Amino acid sequence: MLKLEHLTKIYRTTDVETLALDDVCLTIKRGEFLAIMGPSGCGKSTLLNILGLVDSPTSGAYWFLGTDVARCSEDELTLHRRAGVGFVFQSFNLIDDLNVEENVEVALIYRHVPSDERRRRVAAALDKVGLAHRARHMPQQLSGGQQQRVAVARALVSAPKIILADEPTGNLDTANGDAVMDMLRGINASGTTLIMVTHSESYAARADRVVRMLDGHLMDDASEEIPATHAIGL
Amino acid sequence: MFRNYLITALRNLVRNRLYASISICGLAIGLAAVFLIALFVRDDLSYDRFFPDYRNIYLLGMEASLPGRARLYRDSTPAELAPLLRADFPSAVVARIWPQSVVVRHGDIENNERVQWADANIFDIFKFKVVAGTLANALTEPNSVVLTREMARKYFGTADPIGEALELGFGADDGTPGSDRKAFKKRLFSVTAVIEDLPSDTEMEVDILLAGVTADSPIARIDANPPGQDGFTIDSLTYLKVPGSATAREIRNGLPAFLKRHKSRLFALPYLTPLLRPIASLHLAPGVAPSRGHIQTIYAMVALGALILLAAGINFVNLMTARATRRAVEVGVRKTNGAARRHLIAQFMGEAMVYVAIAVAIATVLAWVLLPSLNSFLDRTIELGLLTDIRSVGFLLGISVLVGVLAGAYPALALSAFHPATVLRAVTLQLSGASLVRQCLVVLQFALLIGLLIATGVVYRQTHFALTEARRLDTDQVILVTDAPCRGAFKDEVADIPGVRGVACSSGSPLGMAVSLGQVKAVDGSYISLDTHSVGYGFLEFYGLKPLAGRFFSKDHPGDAMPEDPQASTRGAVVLNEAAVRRLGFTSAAQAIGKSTSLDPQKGVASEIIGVVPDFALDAVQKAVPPIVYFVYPGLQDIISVRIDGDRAPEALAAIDRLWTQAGSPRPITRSFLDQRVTALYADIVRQETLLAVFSGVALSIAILGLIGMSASMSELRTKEIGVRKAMGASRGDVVRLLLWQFARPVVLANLIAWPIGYCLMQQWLNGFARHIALGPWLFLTPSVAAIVIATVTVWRQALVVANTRAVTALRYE
Repeated sequence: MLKLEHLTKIYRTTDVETLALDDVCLTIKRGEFLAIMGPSGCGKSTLLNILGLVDSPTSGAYWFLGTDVARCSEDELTLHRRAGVGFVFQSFNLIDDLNVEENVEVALIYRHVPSDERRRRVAAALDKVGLAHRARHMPQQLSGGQQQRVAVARALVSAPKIILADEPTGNLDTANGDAVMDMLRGINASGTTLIMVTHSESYAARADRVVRMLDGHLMDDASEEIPATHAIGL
Repeated sequence: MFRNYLITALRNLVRNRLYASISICGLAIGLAAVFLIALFVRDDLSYDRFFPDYRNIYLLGMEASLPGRARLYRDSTPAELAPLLRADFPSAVVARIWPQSVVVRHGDIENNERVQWADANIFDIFKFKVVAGTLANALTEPNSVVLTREMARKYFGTADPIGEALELGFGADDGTPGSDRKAFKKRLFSVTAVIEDLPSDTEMEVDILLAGVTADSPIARIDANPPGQDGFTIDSLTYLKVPGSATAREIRNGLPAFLKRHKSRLFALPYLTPLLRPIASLHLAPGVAPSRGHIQTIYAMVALGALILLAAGINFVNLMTARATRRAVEVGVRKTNGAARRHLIAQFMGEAMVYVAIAVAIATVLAWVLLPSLNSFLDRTIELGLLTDIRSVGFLLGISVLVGVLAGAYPALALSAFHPATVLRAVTLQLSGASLVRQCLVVLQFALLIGLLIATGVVYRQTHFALTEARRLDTDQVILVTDAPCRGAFKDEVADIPGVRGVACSSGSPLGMAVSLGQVKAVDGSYISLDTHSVGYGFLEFYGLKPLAGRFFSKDHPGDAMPEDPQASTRGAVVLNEAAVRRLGFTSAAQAIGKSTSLDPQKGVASEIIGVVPDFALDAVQKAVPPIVYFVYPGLQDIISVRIDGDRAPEALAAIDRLWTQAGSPRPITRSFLDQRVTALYADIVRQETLLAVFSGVALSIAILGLIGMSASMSELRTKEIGVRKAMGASRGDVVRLLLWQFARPVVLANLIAWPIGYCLMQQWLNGFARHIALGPWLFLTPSVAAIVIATVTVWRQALVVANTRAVTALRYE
């Protein structure tokens, strides 16, 4: 479903070159739950951004649902993204000026969903994350956990094939973190591919597969089918 | 999608009240100024276009290019041309208007008024709006009169005095053959129609239209007894209405042959050419009356409007981009959810449009509120025309969309270019390059402000200089009595009134009220066209002038006055001004004394030069003082200058009025203060000065608004940096200095742009004056210092607030 072949990403400023991803090869199957772990600055977020089509690799190929998108233009990436990707961020990234309902709706606006269907799907998504009663609240009126649940609702409302979660529990306490993880696992169980960057071993343990990164390399890039339990044991 | 954008825009606006109100207020002030300028310019460009068919209406005037003088224009031409024009160009409707000052009376109301004798077919050319009666045949009968609504109300208290009688008293001293200088007749005229008052955007003078066929009318006298080749009059305004521009061209091309065919004596003069001009072009036609419009003024106003709009637009762009980082998350979220760049551009452009729309609404109200003041300042009747004029509405919408697009474009492009991968990592970020753009815009804005301040200063200094120069003449407490009998006892009696300190007679020309030219013999024997001014004994002394050489006219020398008998063998004495001394070819004032010249090219009768007077003229600064020859000719003196004691002015004025009535004059007295006339002469540059001051004020307020917004957003953006600096040991003073310098720097840079451009433009403006101030360095330094002080004071408070923030708070900010 997703396949990275010898992917490299170099950040260039005037006099410094940073190798963020170094010859990364990775295949992700439909419906898989993949956790990416590694220390700060190892390239996790870069990898996630490329997987989510908000960034492009410097070299290599990226087969996204059957198309090589490594050389796509910004506009083409936008079209692919619209078709299949949902995001959940560590810092929630809700739009301050929109209320809960409207924030979730943003995910449907650019996908040209008719307004009555939009309303129905937004209500269903909020119901799913247990925030139907907060639909008219502004983000500032919600707790961190609630805000992240809004973000999850926003990611799932467009029924994407892939959801990318960048440390979704990073800013949350354990109880809220668990709740969000449960929700993500549930979405994955219903068939959506889930790729999550996390620092937490326990949350990574709930994934089908864990890949570890260090300095832009995938540590276990040969082992495609290591059971999650085994990975924890290392 | 649109609803979502609108919600975001409005909530963002409400949340950022300070920035939103600064952006909107600045833009509203700028737009209001632009709307008013546009209304003024539209008014100036639409003179006389309210007449139906104005494109086909022409005025026959003439142009005089006298050797060594600026070109002169006259709207009036000989009245005797009209019947000939009708005969030779039958497709044109030709009608004359002959303005004259007469005494108008009805019951107790009596005034000197300007009336207009007119041909009956004048209404075939000008379709005036009728208030009462009908215009067809309104002036066909002798002694019929058509009034404007204002005049009807003034004399009859109603707009419908049809059939009522109006008494007119006039001396037939209009110079037409058979007119009698001494006769003063009273005649009754019957009101046949009342027309609507003309709007202010006309060059036509229409108050009281009298039937030209009346026997007492100069038009009737000319028609009954055309001057032929014996002479000419040039007091009639001759209007032509043609079927189309082709006919106008035909007539224009045919005019020289026409004039030759009819042996026009006037146009046989080599320096006169006839001019056939559309009435709509008269207001901005070059070199006519000073009250007319100037295309340069229009250019200047349009430029000012553009500059103010630019300043307001810069604020707008700056604040929108300064706030941009706050919107970064939104951009990132929208992009990751599939928004293409064009969606975001559309969103932010739309947001700019919302701001602009609010600003336009406020500006429209502002313009509406301020328009009456503008009208009284300009003495116009400009209307907003929002509901009536489709072009006004179009302009309003057009300029709003233009401003919205221009001001919204940069923020929209910059914001929509945010990379989601970057912005969503939740670190504060700056728009790349935006800070440079912002700095440049602030520099530009301050350059505009400093430039306007420089211009205001220069114009103020020059106005002051001009008025002082004009008052080198002792014009204090002088009243002028016009149309006065200088030869009767009246003048001597006025001199005896307690509270009157002096009396002098002259013609209108030395007081700038008329132009009078004559041929004067130079040293080399040739005749040169110069200004010749008739003054009374003691006139030059009255105005505080002293001879540079020789003496002034004196009653003790009977030979000084020009004899009334043209056949006399002596021609009196003359006094020259310094310019005339040079022009006639004398090497010095002293050298000219005792020499003879002549004002009589036909017979060459000599006049002795008895004195030289310093150059002076009331409108001295606008044009160089021309060479002038002064002489004493009582027949050409109809203005009495009276200097009164300021403390006893009311009694003295009452006594003068009483004497006037006792002298048995059939006309009411016409008197005015000379100072007011001088001020009127300079009304144009005083008006320019006021306008510039107002616009500088507008630009200043926009710039201050911008600075407040910028400093607030800057210190917000730099909070973290300042926290770090403070943690590293920076004092409050260091931080304040840091922030102040950030805003002082663009002001300093702005000077480098404003100075050279301001210098060139103002030097050019000053060159339009014969005498002007020098562009001293302080005229440039003062505005610059003022701008820096203003910037510092504005930013000061914000800088202090930031400097007072404790380091830990600043560091936790994010």
